[in-house]
Amino acid sequence: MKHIETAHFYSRLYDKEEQRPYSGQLELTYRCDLDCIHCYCKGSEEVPSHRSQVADHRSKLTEETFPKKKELTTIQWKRILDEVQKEGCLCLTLTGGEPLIRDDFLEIYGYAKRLGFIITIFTNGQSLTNEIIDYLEKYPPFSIEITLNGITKNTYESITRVDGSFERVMENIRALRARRLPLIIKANCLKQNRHEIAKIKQWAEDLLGKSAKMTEMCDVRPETCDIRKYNFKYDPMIFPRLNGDRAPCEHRLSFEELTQLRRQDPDIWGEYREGCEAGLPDLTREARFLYRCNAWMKHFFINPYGRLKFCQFSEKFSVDLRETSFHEGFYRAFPKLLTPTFTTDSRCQHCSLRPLCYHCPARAYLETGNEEAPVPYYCELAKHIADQIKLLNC
Amino acid sequence: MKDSTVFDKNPDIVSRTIEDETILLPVYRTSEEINCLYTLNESAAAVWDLIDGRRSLGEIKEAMLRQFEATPEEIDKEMGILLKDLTEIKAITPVKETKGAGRAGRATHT
Repeated sequence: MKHIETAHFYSRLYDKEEQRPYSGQLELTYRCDLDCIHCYCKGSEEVPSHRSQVADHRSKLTEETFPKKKELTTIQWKRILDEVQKEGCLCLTLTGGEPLIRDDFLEIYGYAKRLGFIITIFTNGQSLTNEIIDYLEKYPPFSIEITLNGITKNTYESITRVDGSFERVMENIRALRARRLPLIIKANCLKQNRHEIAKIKQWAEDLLGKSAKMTEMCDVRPETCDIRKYNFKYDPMIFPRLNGDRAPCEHRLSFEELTQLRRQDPDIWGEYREGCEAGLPDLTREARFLYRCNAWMKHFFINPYGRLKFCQFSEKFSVDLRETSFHEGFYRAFPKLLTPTFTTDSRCQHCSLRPLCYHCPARAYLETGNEEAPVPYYCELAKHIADQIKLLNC
Repeated sequence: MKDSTVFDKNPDIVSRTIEDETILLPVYRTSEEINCLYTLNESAAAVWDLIDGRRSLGEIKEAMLRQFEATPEEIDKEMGILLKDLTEIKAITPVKETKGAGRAGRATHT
Protein backbone atom coordinates (compact mmCIF):
# COMPACT_ATOMS: atom_id res chain seq x y z
CA MET A 1 0.00 0.00 0.00
CA LYS A 2 1.31 3.40 -0.94
CA HIS A 3 0.52 6.71 0.65
CA ILE A 4 0.16 9.32 -2.06
CA GLU A 5 -0.88 12.97 -2.20
CA THR A 6 -4.29 13.37 -3.77
CA ALA A 7 -3.08 16.09 -6.15
CA HIS A 8 -0.27 13.84 -7.29
CA PHE A 9 -2.61 10.96 -8.03
CA TYR A 10 -4.97 13.28 -9.90
CA SER A 11 -2.10 14.68 -11.90
CA ARG A 12 -1.19 11.17 -13.02
CA LEU A 13 -4.73 10.64 -14.28
CA TYR A 14 -4.88 14.04 -15.94
CA ASP A 15 -1.72 13.42 -17.91
CA LYS A 16 -3.27 10.44 -19.70
CA GLU A 17 -4.31 11.23 -23.24
CA GLU A 18 -7.74 9.60 -23.33
CA GLN A 19 -10.99 11.47 -22.88
CA ARG A 20 -12.15 10.72 -19.32
CA PRO A 21 -14.37 12.69 -16.91
CA TYR A 22 -11.86 12.95 -14.09
CA SER A 23 -13.20 16.19 -12.64
CA GLY A 24 -16.50 17.97 -12.65
CA GLN A 25 -18.14 21.11 -11.41
CA LEU A 26 -21.66 20.74 -10.05
CA GLU A 27 -23.60 23.98 -9.99
CA LEU A 28 -26.11 22.94 -7.33
CA THR A 29 -28.15 26.12 -7.60
CA TYR A 30 -28.00 29.54 -9.22
CA ARG A 31 -29.70 31.06 -6.17
CA CYS A 32 -27.55 33.08 -3.81
CA ASP A 33 -27.81 35.04 -0.60
CA LEU A 34 -25.64 37.84 -1.99
CA ASP A 35 -26.29 40.17 -4.90
CA CYS A 36 -22.80 40.62 -6.35
CA ILE A 37 -22.40 43.19 -9.08
CA HIS A 38 -20.18 40.93 -11.19
CA CYS A 39 -21.95 37.57 -10.77
CA TYR A 40 -21.99 35.68 -14.07
CA CYS A 41 -24.85 33.33 -13.28
CA LYS A 42 -27.34 35.86 -12.02
CA GLY A 43 -30.40 35.80 -14.29
CA SER A 44 -29.06 32.78 -16.11
CA GLU A 45 -32.32 30.88 -16.15
CA GLU A 46 -33.14 33.17 -19.04
CA VAL A 47 -32.17 31.40 -22.23
CA PRO A 48 -29.93 33.00 -24.87
CA SER A 49 -32.87 33.51 -27.22
CA HIS A 50 -34.03 36.17 -24.81
CA ARG A 51 -30.74 37.99 -24.81
CA SER A 52 -32.40 41.31 -25.54
CA GLN A 53 -34.67 40.96 -22.55
CA VAL A 54 -32.01 40.43 -19.92
CA ALA A 55 -32.93 41.02 -16.35
CA ASP A 56 -32.38 44.37 -14.79
CA HIS A 57 -28.90 44.05 -13.32
CA ARG A 58 -30.14 45.23 -9.97
CA SER A 59 -32.67 42.41 -9.66
CA LYS A 60 -32.01 40.10 -6.77
CA LEU A 61 -31.42 36.40 -7.02
CA THR A 62 -34.76 35.46 -5.62
CA GLU A 63 -36.93 32.41 -5.96
CA GLU A 64 -38.92 34.43 -8.47
CA THR A 65 -35.99 34.83 -10.89
CA PHE A 66 -34.62 31.37 -10.14
CA PRO A 67 -37.58 29.12 -9.45
CA LYS A 68 -36.55 26.41 -7.04
CA LYS A 69 -38.82 23.92 -8.77
CA LYS A 70 -36.60 23.82 -11.84
CA GLU A 71 -33.52 22.69 -9.96
CA LEU A 72 -32.56 19.05 -9.76
CA THR A 73 -33.94 17.34 -6.67
CA THR A 74 -31.82 15.57 -4.08
CA ILE A 75 -32.68 12.21 -5.61
CA GLN A 76 -31.77 13.41 -9.11
CA TRP A 77 -28.40 14.74 -7.91
CA LYS A 78 -27.69 11.43 -6.17
CA ARG A 79 -28.49 9.49 -9.33
CA ILE A 80 -26.15 11.73 -11.30
CA LEU A 81 -23.41 11.29 -8.67
CA ASP A 82 -23.79 7.50 -8.98
CA GLU A 83 -23.40 7.73 -12.77
CA VAL A 84 -20.45 10.09 -12.62
CA GLN A 85 -18.68 7.91 -10.06
CA LYS A 86 -19.11 4.83 -12.24
CA GLU A 87 -17.49 6.73 -15.11
CA GLY A 88 -14.35 7.22 -13.02
CA CYS A 89 -14.68 10.84 -11.93
CA LEU A 90 -12.43 11.60 -8.96
CA CYS A 91 -12.63 15.35 -8.24
CA LEU A 92 -15.83 17.30 -7.77
CA THR A 93 -16.40 20.96 -7.11
CA LEU A 94 -19.70 21.87 -5.50
CA THR A 95 -20.57 25.40 -6.49
CA GLY A 96 -23.43 27.69 -7.42
CA GLY A 97 -24.78 30.39 -7.16
CA GLU A 98 -24.25 29.60 -3.52
CA PRO A 99 -24.31 25.82 -2.96
CA LEU A 100 -24.78 26.03 0.81
CA ILE A 101 -28.12 27.73 0.32
CA ARG A 102 -29.66 24.40 -0.64
CA ASP A 103 -31.45 22.75 2.29
CA ASP A 104 -30.07 19.40 1.18
CA PHE A 105 -26.45 20.53 0.76
CA LEU A 106 -25.12 18.24 3.50
CA GLU A 107 -27.11 15.31 2.16
CA ILE A 108 -25.62 15.76 -1.32
CA TYR A 109 -22.13 16.44 0.08
CA GLY A 110 -22.22 13.43 2.42
CA TYR A 111 -23.46 11.19 -0.38
CA ALA A 112 -20.65 12.35 -2.65
CA LYS A 113 -18.07 11.78 0.11
CA ARG A 114 -19.33 8.21 0.60
CA LEU A 115 -18.92 7.60 -3.12
CA GLY A 116 -15.24 8.48 -2.79
CA PHE A 117 -15.07 11.85 -4.52
CA ILE A 118 -12.37 14.40 -3.68
CA ILE A 119 -14.51 17.45 -3.03
CA THR A 120 -13.87 21.18 -3.25
CA ILE A 121 -16.55 23.61 -2.12
CA PHE A 122 -16.87 27.09 -3.62
CA THR A 123 -18.80 29.36 -1.28
CA ASN A 124 -19.33 33.01 -0.40
CA GLY A 125 -19.08 32.01 3.28
CA GLN A 126 -22.45 33.47 4.27
CA SER A 127 -24.54 30.38 4.98
CA LEU A 128 -22.19 28.30 7.09
CA THR A 129 -24.34 27.12 9.98
CA ASN A 130 -22.94 25.34 13.03
CA GLU A 131 -24.42 22.12 11.69
CA ILE A 132 -22.53 22.51 8.40
CA ILE A 133 -19.26 23.44 10.11
CA ASP A 134 -19.52 20.49 12.53
CA TYR A 135 -20.16 18.11 9.65
CA LEU A 136 -17.30 19.48 7.54
CA GLU A 137 -14.97 19.17 10.51
CA LYS A 138 -15.84 15.49 10.85
CA TYR A 139 -15.87 14.78 7.12
CA PRO A 140 -13.62 17.46 5.62
CA PRO A 141 -13.54 18.39 1.96
CA PHE A 142 -10.30 18.63 0.01
CA SER A 143 -10.64 22.40 0.19
CA ILE A 144 -13.11 25.19 0.81
CA GLU A 145 -12.63 28.20 -1.43
CA ILE A 146 -14.20 31.36 -0.04
CA THR A 147 -14.61 34.48 -2.13
CA LEU A 148 -13.56 37.56 -0.21
CA ASN A 149 -13.80 40.56 -2.48
CA GLY A 150 -12.83 43.20 0.04
CA ILE A 151 -10.94 43.57 3.26
CA THR A 152 -13.08 46.47 4.46
CA LYS A 153 -16.83 46.52 5.03
CA ASN A 154 -17.34 49.36 2.56
CA THR A 155 -15.51 47.69 -0.30
CA TYR A 156 -16.88 44.20 0.33
CA GLU A 157 -20.48 45.32 0.67
CA SER A 158 -20.25 47.68 -2.31
CA ILE A 159 -19.77 44.46 -4.29
CA THR A 160 -22.10 42.05 -2.47
CA ARG A 161 -24.81 44.69 -1.95
CA VAL A 162 -26.00 42.99 1.26
CA ASP A 163 -25.71 44.77 4.61
CA GLY A 164 -23.94 42.77 7.29
CA SER A 165 -22.40 40.34 4.80
CA PHE A 166 -18.83 41.45 5.64
CA GLU A 167 -19.09 40.65 9.35
CA ARG A 168 -20.72 37.33 8.51
CA VAL A 169 -18.05 36.16 6.09
CA MET A 170 -15.20 37.20 8.41
CA GLU A 171 -16.81 35.39 11.34
CA ASN A 172 -17.31 32.25 9.27
CA ILE A 173 -13.79 32.25 7.87
CA ARG A 174 -12.44 32.43 11.42
CA ALA A 175 -14.79 29.64 12.53
CA LEU A 176 -13.58 27.37 9.71
CA ARG A 177 -9.98 28.22 10.48
CA ALA A 178 -10.48 27.41 14.17
CA ARG A 179 -11.59 23.91 13.10
CA ARG A 180 -8.46 23.54 10.91
CA LEU A 181 -10.50 23.19 7.74
CA PRO A 182 -8.56 23.57 4.48
CA LEU A 183 -9.30 27.10 3.29
CA ILE A 184 -8.38 29.09 0.22
CA ILE A 185 -9.29 32.77 0.04
CA LYS A 186 -9.98 34.10 -3.42
CA ALA A 187 -10.87 37.40 -4.97
CA ASN A 188 -12.19 38.75 -8.24
CA CYS A 189 -10.45 41.86 -9.54
CA LEU A 190 -12.94 44.68 -9.91
CA LYS A 191 -12.81 48.46 -10.11
CA GLN A 192 -14.34 48.51 -6.62
CA ASN A 193 -11.63 46.42 -4.92
CA ARG A 194 -8.49 46.82 -7.04
CA HIS A 195 -6.79 48.77 -4.24
CA GLU A 196 -7.46 45.94 -1.79
CA ILE A 197 -6.36 42.79 -3.66
CA ALA A 198 -2.85 42.84 -2.17
CA LYS A 199 -4.33 43.53 1.26
CA ILE A 200 -6.73 40.58 0.93
CA LYS A 201 -3.76 38.39 0.04
CA GLN A 202 -1.83 39.69 3.05
CA TRP A 203 -4.79 39.07 5.33
CA ALA A 204 -5.22 35.54 3.98
CA GLU A 205 -1.54 34.83 4.57
CA ASP A 206 -1.65 36.21 8.10
CA LEU A 207 -4.53 33.88 8.82
CA LEU A 208 -3.52 30.79 6.87
CA GLY A 209 0.22 31.14 6.43
CA LYS A 210 2.12 32.35 3.43
CA SER A 211 1.28 30.60 0.20
CA ALA A 212 4.10 28.53 -1.16
CA LYS A 213 2.63 29.57 -4.45
CA MET A 214 -0.32 31.69 -5.49
CA THR A 215 -2.07 31.95 -8.75
CA GLU A 216 -4.21 33.70 -11.27
CA MET A 217 -7.27 31.53 -11.48
CA CYS A 218 -7.62 31.73 -15.24
CA ASP A 219 -4.20 30.35 -15.94
CA VAL A 220 -4.04 27.03 -14.16
CA ARG A 221 -5.76 23.71 -13.88
CA PRO A 222 -6.19 23.75 -10.09
CA GLU A 223 -6.72 20.02 -9.90
CA THR A 224 -3.34 19.29 -11.38
CA CYS A 225 -1.43 21.50 -9.01
CA ASP A 226 -0.70 20.94 -5.39
CA ILE A 227 -3.59 23.07 -4.28
CA ARG A 228 -2.33 23.00 -0.70
CA LYS A 229 0.31 25.45 -1.75
CA TYR A 230 -2.33 28.07 -2.41
CA ASN A 231 -3.86 30.05 0.40
CA PHE A 232 -4.89 32.82 -1.93
CA LYS A 233 -6.04 33.02 -5.53
CA TYR A 234 -7.22 35.93 -7.62
CA ASP A 235 -9.17 36.14 -10.84
CA PRO A 236 -8.36 39.07 -13.13
CA MET A 237 -11.25 38.34 -15.49
CA ILE A 238 -14.87 39.38 -15.25
CA PHE A 239 -17.35 37.92 -17.72
CA PRO A 240 -20.84 38.84 -18.91
CA ARG A 241 -23.70 36.93 -17.38
CA LEU A 242 -24.75 33.61 -18.84
CA ASN A 243 -27.92 35.27 -20.15
CA GLY A 244 -25.88 37.79 -22.14
CA ASP A 245 -26.29 40.68 -19.68
CA ARG A 246 -23.07 42.69 -19.93
CA ALA A 247 -23.59 44.60 -16.67
CA PRO A 248 -20.62 42.87 -14.92
CA CYS A 249 -18.27 44.15 -17.64
CA GLU A 250 -18.70 47.70 -16.35
CA HIS A 251 -16.63 46.65 -13.35
CA ARG A 252 -13.75 44.92 -15.13
CA LEU A 253 -10.25 46.37 -15.15
CA SER A 254 -8.25 47.72 -18.07
CA PHE A 255 -4.82 46.29 -18.81
CA GLU A 256 -3.16 49.29 -17.12
CA GLU A 257 -5.29 48.83 -14.01
CA LEU A 258 -4.50 45.12 -13.92
CA THR A 259 -0.80 45.90 -14.22
CA GLN A 260 -1.00 48.40 -11.36
CA LEU A 261 -2.86 45.82 -9.30
CA ARG A 262 -0.27 43.11 -9.95
CA ARG A 263 2.56 45.48 -9.06
CA GLN A 264 1.05 46.05 -5.60
CA ASP A 265 2.39 42.71 -4.44
CA PRO A 266 5.81 41.24 -5.28
CA ASP A 267 4.49 37.66 -5.32
CA ILE A 268 1.64 38.49 -7.68
CA TRP A 269 3.94 40.47 -9.96
CA GLY A 270 6.63 37.79 -9.81
CA GLU A 271 4.19 35.06 -10.78
CA TYR A 272 2.81 37.15 -13.63
CA ARG A 273 6.32 37.85 -14.90
CA GLU A 274 7.16 34.17 -14.72
CA GLY A 275 4.11 33.43 -16.86
CA CYS A 276 5.15 36.05 -19.41
CA GLU A 277 8.71 34.77 -19.51
CA ALA A 278 7.44 31.29 -20.28
CA GLY A 279 6.24 32.66 -23.63
CA LEU A 280 3.24 31.56 -25.64
CA PRO A 281 1.55 28.25 -24.89
CA ASP A 282 1.26 25.79 -27.74
CA LEU A 283 -2.25 25.26 -29.12
CA THR A 284 -2.13 21.90 -30.75
CA ARG A 285 -5.19 22.11 -33.00
CA GLU A 286 -5.03 23.79 -36.40
CA ALA A 287 -6.06 27.45 -36.57
CA ARG A 288 -9.12 26.74 -38.76
CA PHE A 289 -10.83 24.97 -35.86
CA LEU A 290 -13.12 27.08 -33.75
CA TYR A 291 -12.61 25.14 -30.53
CA ARG A 292 -9.01 24.66 -29.50
CA CYS A 293 -9.48 24.16 -25.79
CA ASN A 294 -8.88 20.66 -24.43
CA ALA A 295 -10.50 21.09 -21.03
CA TRP A 296 -13.61 19.17 -22.12
CA MET A 297 -11.58 15.97 -22.41
CA LYS A 298 -11.13 15.70 -18.64
CA HIS A 299 -13.62 18.12 -17.18
CA PHE A 300 -17.37 18.69 -17.20
CA PHE A 301 -20.03 20.97 -15.72
CA ILE A 302 -23.58 20.20 -14.63
CA ASN A 303 -25.93 23.13 -14.10
CA PRO A 304 -28.74 23.25 -11.51
CA TYR A 305 -31.27 22.10 -14.08
CA GLY A 306 -29.39 18.97 -15.08
CA ARG A 307 -27.60 20.11 -18.22
CA LEU A 308 -24.24 18.45 -18.72
CA LYS A 309 -21.91 21.04 -20.30
CA PHE A 310 -18.33 21.04 -21.52
CA CYS A 311 -17.83 24.62 -20.34
CA GLN A 312 -19.38 26.72 -17.62
CA PHE A 313 -20.02 29.52 -20.14
CA SER A 314 -21.73 27.51 -22.86
CA GLU A 315 -24.67 25.19 -23.31
CA LYS A 316 -23.61 24.18 -26.79
CA PHE A 317 -23.14 20.41 -27.13
CA SER A 318 -24.88 20.05 -23.76
CA VAL A 319 -27.38 17.34 -22.88
CA ASP A 320 -30.18 17.07 -20.34
CA LEU A 321 -29.17 14.47 -17.78
CA ARG A 322 -32.81 13.97 -16.88
CA GLU A 323 -33.23 12.35 -20.28
CA THR A 324 -29.74 11.28 -21.37
CA SER A 325 -27.09 9.28 -19.59
CA PHE A 326 -23.88 10.94 -18.45
CA HIS A 327 -21.90 8.47 -20.56
CA GLU A 328 -23.82 9.39 -23.70
CA GLY A 329 -23.41 13.12 -23.08
CA PHE A 330 -19.74 13.05 -22.19
CA TYR A 331 -18.53 10.61 -24.85
CA ARG A 332 -20.97 11.34 -27.70
CA ALA A 333 -22.00 15.00 -27.36
CA PHE A 334 -18.77 16.65 -26.20
CA PRO A 335 -16.54 15.42 -29.05
CA LYS A 336 -18.87 17.17 -31.52
CA LEU A 337 -17.00 20.36 -30.68
CA LEU A 338 -13.98 18.98 -32.50
CA THR A 339 -15.70 19.50 -35.84
CA PRO A 340 -16.71 23.19 -36.19
CA THR A 341 -14.38 25.43 -38.15
CA PHE A 342 -14.56 29.19 -38.68
CA THR A 343 -17.38 30.09 -41.06
CA THR A 344 -16.60 33.80 -41.25
CA ASP A 345 -13.44 35.76 -42.02
CA SER A 346 -13.04 36.57 -38.33
CA ARG A 347 -9.59 38.00 -37.73
CA CYS A 348 -9.35 35.78 -34.64
CA GLN A 349 -8.75 32.70 -36.81
CA HIS A 350 -5.23 33.56 -37.87
CA CYS A 351 -4.36 36.01 -35.12
CA SER A 352 -0.85 35.33 -33.85
CA LEU A 353 -1.96 36.26 -30.34
CA ARG A 354 -4.62 33.56 -30.17
CA PRO A 355 -2.57 31.33 -27.83
CA LEU A 356 -2.52 34.01 -25.13
CA CYS A 357 -5.91 35.57 -25.76
CA TYR A 358 -8.92 35.02 -23.51
CA HIS A 359 -11.01 34.62 -26.66
CA CYS A 360 -12.79 31.33 -27.13
CA PRO A 361 -16.10 30.57 -28.84
CA ALA A 362 -17.97 30.30 -25.55
CA ARG A 363 -16.71 33.61 -24.17
CA ALA A 364 -17.10 35.35 -27.53
CA TYR A 365 -20.73 34.23 -27.63
CA LEU A 366 -21.30 35.56 -24.14
CA GLU A 367 -19.69 38.87 -25.03
CA THR A 368 -21.09 39.43 -28.52
CA GLY A 369 -23.71 36.79 -29.33
CA ASN A 370 -21.33 35.43 -32.00
CA GLU A 371 -18.85 32.64 -31.35
CA GLU A 372 -16.39 33.87 -33.96
CA ALA A 373 -16.47 37.60 -33.31
CA PRO A 374 -13.43 39.35 -31.86
CA VAL A 375 -13.96 40.83 -28.40
CA PRO A 376 -12.29 44.26 -28.26
CA TYR A 377 -11.44 43.95 -24.56
CA TYR A 378 -9.67 40.62 -25.14
CA CYS A 379 -7.81 42.09 -28.16
CA GLU A 380 -6.57 44.95 -26.01
CA LEU A 381 -5.41 42.63 -23.23
CA ALA A 382 -3.71 40.23 -25.65
CA LYS A 383 -1.77 43.03 -27.40
CA HIS A 384 -0.54 44.44 -24.10
CA ILE A 385 0.40 41.01 -22.76
CA ALA A 386 2.30 40.27 -25.98
CA ASP A 387 4.20 43.55 -25.59
CA GLN A 388 5.03 42.67 -22.02
CA ILE A 389 6.25 39.21 -23.07
CA LYS A 390 8.50 40.80 -25.72
CA LEU A 391 9.82 43.31 -23.22
CA LEU A 392 10.52 40.71 -20.55
CA ASN A 393 12.14 38.27 -22.97
CA CYS A 394 14.43 40.84 -24.62
CA MET B 1 -1.49 -12.40 13.28
CA LYS B 2 -3.40 -15.65 13.62
CA ASP B 3 -4.94 -17.29 10.58
CA SER B 4 -8.18 -17.60 12.50
CA THR B 5 -8.51 -13.81 12.80
CA VAL B 6 -11.36 -12.19 10.92
CA PHE B 7 -11.09 -8.55 9.85
CA ASP B 8 -13.84 -6.17 8.88
CA LYS B 9 -13.57 -2.97 6.88
CA ASN B 10 -14.13 0.47 8.29
CA PRO B 11 -17.23 1.83 6.52
CA ASP B 12 -15.61 5.28 6.60
CA ILE B 13 -12.98 4.13 4.13
CA VAL B 14 -14.15 4.17 0.53
CA SER B 15 -12.39 2.07 -2.06
CA ARG B 16 -12.53 2.88 -5.75
CA THR B 17 -10.91 1.50 -8.86
CA ILE B 18 -9.98 4.13 -11.43
CA GLU B 19 -8.02 3.23 -14.55
CA ASP B 20 -7.12 -0.15 -13.04
CA GLU B 21 -5.74 1.43 -9.88
CA THR B 22 -7.45 0.67 -6.60
CA ILE B 23 -7.42 3.54 -4.13
CA LEU B 24 -8.62 3.90 -0.56
CA LEU B 25 -10.06 7.23 0.53
CA PRO B 26 -10.84 7.99 4.17
CA VAL B 27 -14.02 10.08 4.41
CA TYR B 28 -13.23 11.23 7.95
CA ARG B 29 -10.52 13.61 9.11
CA THR B 30 -7.17 11.90 9.25
CA SER B 31 -4.13 12.94 11.20
CA GLU B 32 -2.42 13.82 7.93
CA GLU B 33 -1.96 17.53 7.32
CA ILE B 34 -1.74 16.86 3.62
CA ASN B 35 -4.70 15.43 1.79
CA CYS B 36 -3.71 11.89 0.90
CA LEU B 37 -5.11 8.70 -0.43
CA TYR B 38 -3.75 5.18 -0.53
CA THR B 39 -3.08 3.10 -3.61
CA LEU B 40 -3.14 -0.69 -3.64
CA ASN B 41 -1.30 -2.91 -6.07
CA GLU B 42 -3.10 -5.83 -7.68
CA SER B 43 -2.52 -8.35 -4.91
CA ALA B 44 -3.24 -5.83 -2.14
CA ALA B 45 -6.48 -4.90 -3.91
CA ALA B 46 -7.39 -8.61 -4.04
CA VAL B 47 -6.85 -8.95 -0.28
CA TRP B 48 -8.91 -5.81 0.30
CA ASP B 49 -11.76 -7.26 -1.76
CA LEU B 50 -11.63 -10.50 0.23
CA ILE B 51 -11.88 -8.82 3.62
CA ASP B 52 -15.57 -8.93 4.42
CA GLY B 53 -16.03 -9.50 8.15
CA ARG B 54 -16.62 -13.22 7.56
CA ARG B 55 -13.54 -14.77 5.95
CA SER B 56 -10.64 -15.63 8.22
CA LEU B 57 -7.07 -14.70 7.27
CA GLY B 58 -6.45 -18.36 6.55
CA GLU B 59 -9.29 -18.41 4.04
CA ILE B 60 -8.06 -15.22 2.44
CA LYS B 61 -4.55 -16.66 2.09
CA GLU B 62 -6.04 -19.75 0.52
CA ALA B 63 -7.90 -17.64 -2.03
CA MET B 64 -4.76 -15.62 -2.73
CA LEU B 65 -2.74 -18.77 -3.37
CA ARG B 66 -5.31 -19.84 -5.93
CA GLN B 67 -5.32 -16.43 -7.61
CA PHE B 68 -1.61 -15.56 -7.68
CA GLU B 69 1.52 -17.44 -8.59
CA ALA B 70 3.31 -17.05 -5.29
CA THR B 71 4.56 -19.24 -2.49
CA PRO B 72 2.69 -19.36 0.84
CA GLU B 73 5.66 -17.57 2.41
CA GLU B 74 5.47 -14.73 -0.12
CA ILE B 75 1.73 -14.37 0.40
CA ASP B 76 2.24 -14.47 4.17
CA LYS B 77 4.86 -11.74 4.04
CA GLU B 78 2.93 -9.45 1.72
CA MET B 79 -0.32 -9.86 3.64
CA GLY B 80 1.45 -9.23 6.93
CA ILE B 81 2.74 -5.87 5.72
CA LEU B 82 -0.58 -4.90 4.15
CA LEU B 83 -2.67 -5.81 7.20
CA LYS B 84 -0.34 -3.82 9.43
CA ASP B 85 -0.67 -0.78 7.12
CA LEU B 86 -4.45 -1.13 6.90
CA THR B 87 -4.73 -1.46 10.67
CA GLU B 88 -2.59 1.62 11.20
CA ILE B 89 -4.87 3.81 9.09
CA LYS B 90 -7.92 2.21 10.77
CA ALA B 91 -9.15 0.80 7.48
CA ILE B 92 -9.70 -2.60 9.08
CA THR B 93 -10.30 -3.94 12.58
CA PRO B 94 -10.23 -7.52 13.89
CA VAL B 95 -13.75 -8.57 14.69
CA LYS B 96 -13.44 -12.16 15.83
CA GLU B 97 -11.45 -15.40 15.78
CA THR B 98 -12.78 -18.41 13.90
CA LYS B 99 -12.37 -22.00 14.99
CA GLY B 100 -10.97 -23.27 11.72
CA ALA B 101 -8.13 -21.38 10.09
CA GLY B 102 -8.65 -22.74 6.58
CA ARG B 103 -6.41 -25.16 4.75
CA ALA B 104 -4.09 -22.48 3.43
CA GLY B 105 -3.59 -21.10 6.90
CA ARG B 106 -2.39 -24.46 8.11
CA ALA B 107 -0.35 -25.04 4.98
CA THR B 108 1.63 -21.83 5.34
CA HIS B 109 2.94 -22.96 8.70
CA THR B 110 3.89 -26.52 7.87
